[in-house]
Amino acid sequence: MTTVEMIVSLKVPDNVAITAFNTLKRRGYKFKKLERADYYKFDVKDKIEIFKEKISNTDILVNANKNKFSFSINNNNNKNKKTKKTNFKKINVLIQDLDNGSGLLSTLKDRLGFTNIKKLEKGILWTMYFDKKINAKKIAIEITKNLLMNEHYQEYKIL
Amino acid sequence: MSKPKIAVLYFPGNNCEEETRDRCIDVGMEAKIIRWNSKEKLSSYDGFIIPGGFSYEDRVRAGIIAAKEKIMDKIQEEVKDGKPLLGICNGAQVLVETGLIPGLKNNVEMALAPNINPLVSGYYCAWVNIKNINGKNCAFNYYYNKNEIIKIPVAHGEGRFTTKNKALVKKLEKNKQIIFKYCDNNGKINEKYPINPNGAVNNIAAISNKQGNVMAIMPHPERASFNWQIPNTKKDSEKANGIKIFGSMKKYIEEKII
Repeated sequence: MTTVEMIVSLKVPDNVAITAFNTLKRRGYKFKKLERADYYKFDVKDKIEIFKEKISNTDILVNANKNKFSFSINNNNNKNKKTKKTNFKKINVLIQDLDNGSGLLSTLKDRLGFTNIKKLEKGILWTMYFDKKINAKKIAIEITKNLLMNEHYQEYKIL
Repeated sequence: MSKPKIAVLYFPGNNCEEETRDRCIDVGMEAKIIRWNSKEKLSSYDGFIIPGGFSYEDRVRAGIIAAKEKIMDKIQEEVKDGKPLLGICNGAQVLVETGLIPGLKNNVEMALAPNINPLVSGYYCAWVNIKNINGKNCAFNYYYNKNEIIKIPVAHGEGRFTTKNKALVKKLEKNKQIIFKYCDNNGKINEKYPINPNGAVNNIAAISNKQGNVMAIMPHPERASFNWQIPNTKKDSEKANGIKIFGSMKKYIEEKII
């Protein structure tokens, strides 16, 4: 079994991320930038490269006209570490609903023939860019709990 | 006595503000639509309604961005001493995200989570029944008898009252804060779809704060206020059950606020 992570974001500016960023700024949070992407994690049995090609061509997850995608958080430059050549510190927060992904999994398996997917998780991946001098992780968690998630039906992970 | 004066708060993306204002006028109140960035003094109003719609396009999740607007800080101040505040659908989502509902602690104690519905994922529209659980115990159920049924529409994608704190629901029941519950045509409470259209815990359709002056309701009473709005009913201008929520608000203001 191989795990495949897929990150899908908009080619154009993301209005949801911009609204969230402006709201947080108004509430006094100091940070540089906020990005948002759809996150999918598949447990897949064999033929991984064929799976990647097929899954990226389903209009359900990726619309080539408006989305860009990547198959790992590393490739997407979203790793939770200090970025090179900048003064930013990046924090990735994944928000997931507590009941996760079953509808999409049955669509992919039953309607689109992805029988080799054994498990699917989905969520929203938020990437926050902070000044290096501040305690980024602490503020990221505060922002997450205050705005990005409702803990009564969602949970978060720092990636 | 002067007419109660209601501010219907409008956030970008709301779409029920006019019919909500009209229902206030229909029961004999004055009502005005106030934009979220208005400089107008809210203290000159006797009560407030946050109408349905899609404030801020439901960005991030329904109601959360409006809940963080400065006007909501002012509203919290205004309702502290008993002025009524009604949140309908998207307005209910705003009230839950501010923590005003259920309002037992100074934080967000519940969610209006995405519907759980065996047939449809996402947005769901239907006529349902709700019933008044407690008799007259808040600003919005004065004119309802205990167990009185209202035929009323729901139209939402995120309308499932839920909480991770199981003890909270028992507390809400004990405090009589659960005002309306989804039920069948005979008033029987059944947790299964379609009686419960969104999977809400304990069939909750509306919750008030402990004081009873703030209520979040997911169905739309402004769309169930006259017979001509109700399906399979004579299309006349007789008042239907939903309008009594607005009438109760008026009565409450006349007795407690003005």
